[in-house]
Amino acid sequence: MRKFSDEAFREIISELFVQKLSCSETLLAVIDEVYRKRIRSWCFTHRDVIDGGYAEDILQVIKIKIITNCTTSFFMKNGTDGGINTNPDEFASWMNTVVKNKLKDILEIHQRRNNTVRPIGDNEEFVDPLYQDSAAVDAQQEILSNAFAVVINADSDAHIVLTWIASSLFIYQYGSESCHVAGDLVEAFEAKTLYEMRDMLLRAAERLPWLTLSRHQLQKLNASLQKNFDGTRCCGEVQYREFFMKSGGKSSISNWRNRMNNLVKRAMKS
Amino acid sequence: MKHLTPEEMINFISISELTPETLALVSKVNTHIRQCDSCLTKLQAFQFINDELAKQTQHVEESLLAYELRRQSKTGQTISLDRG
Repeated sequence: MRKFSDEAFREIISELFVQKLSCSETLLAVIDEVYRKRIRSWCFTHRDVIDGGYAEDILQVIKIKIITNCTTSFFMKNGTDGGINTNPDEFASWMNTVVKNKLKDILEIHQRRNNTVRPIGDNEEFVDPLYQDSAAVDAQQEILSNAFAVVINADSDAHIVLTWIASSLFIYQYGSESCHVAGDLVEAFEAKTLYEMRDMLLRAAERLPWLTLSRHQLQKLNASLQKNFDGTRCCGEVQYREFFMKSGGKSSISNWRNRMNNLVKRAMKS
Repeated sequence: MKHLTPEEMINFISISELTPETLALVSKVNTHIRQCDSCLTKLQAFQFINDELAKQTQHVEESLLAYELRRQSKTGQTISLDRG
């Protein structure tokens, strides 16, 4: 199905072939509109291979491919005497093919680089990234996003909130096994202050569509970090390990995660 | 009419980022080829060869794209936060 209007297509034609100096302004805007969200979803689907942070780079690569090939490979494919192809549906189909092939290439490159999955063979079926069940991906992201909102809006201590965010990141983004995540977190953060932990997590969260802090949520987290810890330091200045209970780091983290997960489950049920 | 130079065509098919300079080149090339069959045909040939080479290169070594993406990821995005 075509995702841009007839009017937008007429404007693309006008900019490329009618104006004195050809330009691609509307075409770039259409590519943005049609593919940005799809590419982010695609990166999310293939997060075990491709970091979500690549989404914008991939979009840029696709924009370049389209604006440098649209005239030669689509509009004037049959030469200057062949006339300009002004069929918007065919153009949509051409763009989808370009994007599909480019994403396939990128996936293969990353798979080889990660050496986790063998390259896709010519005879193997390739799941078209643009026609996979993007609704399921959106739904998954929405659930994670809602869970995150519950956690960040809860009046819980900063170290517990940061623990939940870190475990989610490790599990969904870095592929940690749920049963090992407590150990991973101890290793990654025990010597970091909560301020350092927050900054690291927010940098990583920038790459995740479902983990975006609003200004209000960031203020809430910061207020929690500013709470007094021992009379001389606020919580943000304290190392993560100082919050561990006597039972140890892993046990504390599991306990905090369970508390937050129960909170999320209750909120989801209601 | 002044035709596109081979260098301009190679620069055009080698564009790797969108900057005012590369967009100006895209504009120049697209403006020209819409009325010049000779340059349009040459550019189509350049692009075909470039695509074929890219396909072969992909099976031999990591592509420049992957390298570029990795380089960009290493530079990383930073976020500055107030401690207040």
